Amino acid sequence: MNSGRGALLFIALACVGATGCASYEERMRSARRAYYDGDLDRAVELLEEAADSPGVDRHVASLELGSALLTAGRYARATWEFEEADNRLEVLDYTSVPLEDLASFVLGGEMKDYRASPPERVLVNTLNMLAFLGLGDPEEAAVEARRLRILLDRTDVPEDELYANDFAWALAALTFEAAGDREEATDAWRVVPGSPLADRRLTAGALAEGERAGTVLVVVQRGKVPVRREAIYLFPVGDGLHTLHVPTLVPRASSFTGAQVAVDGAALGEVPTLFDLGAHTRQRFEREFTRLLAAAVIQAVPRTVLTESLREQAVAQADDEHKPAVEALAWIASFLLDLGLAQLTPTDTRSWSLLPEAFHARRLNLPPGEHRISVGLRGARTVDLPFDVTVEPGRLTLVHVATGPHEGWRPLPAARRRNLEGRPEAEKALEILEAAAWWREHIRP
Amino acid sequence: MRTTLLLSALLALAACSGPYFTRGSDDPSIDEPAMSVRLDREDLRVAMEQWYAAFNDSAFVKEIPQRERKIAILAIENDTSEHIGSALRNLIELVETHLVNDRVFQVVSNDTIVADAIAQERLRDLGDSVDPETVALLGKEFGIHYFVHGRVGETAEKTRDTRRIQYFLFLKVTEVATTQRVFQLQIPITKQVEG
Repeated sequence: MNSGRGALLFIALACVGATGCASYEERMRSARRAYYDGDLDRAVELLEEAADSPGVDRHVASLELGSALLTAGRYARATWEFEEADNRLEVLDYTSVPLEDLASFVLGGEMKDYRASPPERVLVNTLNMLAFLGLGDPEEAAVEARRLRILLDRTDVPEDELYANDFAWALAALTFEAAGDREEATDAWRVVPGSPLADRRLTAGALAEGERAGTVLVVVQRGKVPVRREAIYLFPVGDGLHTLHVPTLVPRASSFTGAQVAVDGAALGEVPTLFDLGAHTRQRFEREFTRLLAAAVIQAVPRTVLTESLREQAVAQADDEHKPAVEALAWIASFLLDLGLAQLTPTDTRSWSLLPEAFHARRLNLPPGEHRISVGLRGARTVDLPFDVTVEPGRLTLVHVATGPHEGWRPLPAARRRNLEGRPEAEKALEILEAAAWWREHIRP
Repeated sequence: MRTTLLLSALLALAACSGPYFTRGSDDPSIDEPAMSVRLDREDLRVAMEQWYAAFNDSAFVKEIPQRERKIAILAIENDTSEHIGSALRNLIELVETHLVNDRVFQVVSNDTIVADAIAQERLRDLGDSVDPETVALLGKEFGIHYFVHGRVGETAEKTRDTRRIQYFLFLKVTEVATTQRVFQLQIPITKQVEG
């Protein structure tokens, strides 16, 4: 009777634990839905609520809000949001932070304020530059360009990543040019000498004698960056079945594969890709995964030891008559309890999800006057967006498009578990978990 | 009675929550603390006082001919990584206000110069020095004898929990006729944030 009661209590505990909290994706669903369905006012309203609330999402919601405001052309408000984010956002680099911190932040991370990844941190200044250029204030945009340069100089970002974001460097160079900071512009162009944005040749029309061209910068944020979801891996340890909870990246389909531009009705061709953020994010995640798995093991050890211990106690206390039934119940209960305990420290799946898959940009050097710039989004769907701009000599005018509100909302695809068989890091993880269970059983029963 | 007490307590609690607003004239101490590493009114006041004292004591002001006293403040370039553009625009206004009230100089306001499209374009590209064409334009179009321009640079440093910015504000006075710099002052301002 005692053993039956113990097993029932064990199952009750497991069921209570298994009722998890809403994930970041669920908490942000309404705002994302409004954004991708084109209701930017509603998206901004919902994101403002999230950014103003004292919860753990406020910092990441502030980044999402900045993106939504930039897309909506509410540049002044966007600059304010990005500046706030710039001042308070802390960075967590999964590729270099100690494993214990990684376990604490990433695998129990939704309990704490959001920490941005280094590429996200760089994009705060990049998007703020765009917002200030949208406001027609190149001097303030140049401040963001300097902040970006200082950030890249100071952070321990590997060199291949430091220069991966050609778009940020080229935008900084163009911004310095627009602000009249020639030396700083020259320094920034040195990093990206072959950038299409460096082209100063007249794009269309002709200049009158003594007339100076103006510049139109067309920027297209295309698609949706991959986002994090939790993947659960099952591991047999001892006689029980246990779980490892690891964030994984899920891709999100886009309706558009590229963008084209025309000036005053004359087609000029593609707006080239300057930064494939999606590919960069995936490459980075590949480098992070081994450490994430190791951190997940660190977090799983106490959970595994506890649930195995409870399962063994329940079985040991059962009388012979009920033993087979108690063994089966205890096996189920220990698995549920393992899942439930993991839900108490949910995996951090927060990320700046309104970022694009890729940044496209093209520089148009045009004679002063009125011009119609047409941006055509191409792919499974076609959307043509006209912009009437006034080009002034020596000045930079921004035409900014984000495909997000034209994409349409789709639910996130399920997290796909990677095949870990044969992967040395997975075998090592299993060894650690087995060693922990053995240690508890034999050394410190 | 108990209900009344409870309601009073709740009302008192409600009264204690929410934002508080204070007028600077009622409590001048609210202007004193530094709230960020940017430039605030106190920084501008101190900078202005230093500049004004040095400027008035300079040989340039003491020896300036009576007929050549038309001056303008062109621009103070922000070469820092802080958004201090609006503070610098206020500083230009402060300098102008002092010069106007002193009656030593005739001041052509910055707004007048910026309203001129050609001058505005030239001033936007203004670097550390002013090119001869811009100087000629200032003399010809606005009859200016002297102009003030400057820049703010920085040395920014950061440790684990402290960030310090050392600003260097350079203000220069140039004679239009000769393009010679007749007065120059460097004003240091340091701001720090901890935690």
